[in-house]
Order: sequence, then structure tokens, then C-alpha cells
Amino acid sequence: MTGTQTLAPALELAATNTAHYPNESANYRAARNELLVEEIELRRQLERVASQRRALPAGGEIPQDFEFASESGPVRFSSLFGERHTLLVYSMMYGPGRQAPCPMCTSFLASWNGTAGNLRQRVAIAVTARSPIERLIEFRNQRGFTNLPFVSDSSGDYNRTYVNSEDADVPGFSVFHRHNDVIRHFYSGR
Amino acid sequence: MADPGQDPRGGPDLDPLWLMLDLTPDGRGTDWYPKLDYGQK
Repeated sequence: MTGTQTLAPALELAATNTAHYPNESANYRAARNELLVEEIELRRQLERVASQRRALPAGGEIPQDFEFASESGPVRFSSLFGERHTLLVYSMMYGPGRQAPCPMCTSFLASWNGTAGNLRQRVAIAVTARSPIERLIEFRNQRGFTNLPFVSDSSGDYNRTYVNSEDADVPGFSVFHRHNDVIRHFYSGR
Repeated sequence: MADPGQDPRGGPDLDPLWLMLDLTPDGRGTDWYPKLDYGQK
């Protein structure tokens, strides 16, 4: 991607590191600086990948303005954007047949809830699951995830379209973009 | 350690905020920073 060629080699940048810690051996310092080279390369690759993602051609338009159940009644997918033009949707494993919410989804949501106040300054976010909204609200309140808007995909239409075509109870993450009232899929994790 | 024009950061970032913004069409932006408080919604 652009810019990478003009960056100083990671080895050169790592060589400017002056950090030392009490009682460290020369062996430790040498290995730590070798590790730093890899960390710099990793950071640069993360930036290249993000840049390549942003450069994707326009994604497909959503086939329908999906309906969800929210705490305050039925809502349309388009309304989840609020004032933002980007919407991040996390679909958690908490279908009606599941006795308890998925622990790994719950761990992710704890992190998401923590940063949601900042994140929502830039983008809209939503959490979907196949369980009824009452069950999702109970989960939200129990975990203290008050910064996260939960909606129930009660029909499974969204789930079948963007998470799993068989409507399986699996996690999913998708990003949508709205421009001139046209909503397009931007990206989904695989 | 940072490249020119960047704030120092690791790979991967410690703060998931930036990882989430990396998944969006607008990215992290160049002049936006989190605030302690955003006032009334």
C-alpha cells in the first residue's frame, strides 16, 4: 500500500529504542529489540490491511430494511444508524434454544460495552441475537451492558442474510454504510 | 514506536476502540481523539 516504501526499515526504527529495565541481561535486551522489529512490522501490516479494507469496492445494497424487536417496540435496520452513517452489528450466540449466553460473546461484549461511549461518537453499534427481546434485555441488565443497544432478530431474516444462511446460532460481525439513504454492506468478518 | 504522523502505538493496539475503527470505511481518522466526557446526548 502507499507510504510503506518510504517508511524507515523496522530494524532502523527499533534501533532507536532506548528502554532498559532494572537488572535485565544483555541477552534479554537483544531478544526484546528483535521482538520489537516484529511488533513494528505487525503494526504496519495491521495498517496496510485496514487500508485495503477501506479501499474495497462498494458492497451490496441490503435486500430489505430488516425488522427487529427493540426494548421500545419494532424497529427497522435503517433506524439503528441513528445520526451515523456507519453501523457495526455484532450478532451474538444467544438463540432461544441456548440455555445460557455464549461466554466468549459475552466477553467480547464486555469489551465493546466499555469502549462504546467513545466508539458511538464515530459510528452506530447494535447487538443482535435470535432470542426474544425480553431475554436479551434481562441479559443486558444482568451484565451491566447499558452502553449497548440490543435488538432481537426475531424473524431470523437478518441472521440468514448476514450471519448464517442456515440460521444457525453462531456469532457474526458486519459493518454497513449508509450514503444518501442507500444502505450497503461494507464488510463482514469470516 | 510510531511512524511519522502517528501517535505511538503497538501492534496490535491495546485499546479495542482503534481495532473497531479499523473495520470501518472511515477508519481511525487523523484528528479525532476520545474525550473524557461528551456532554449531554
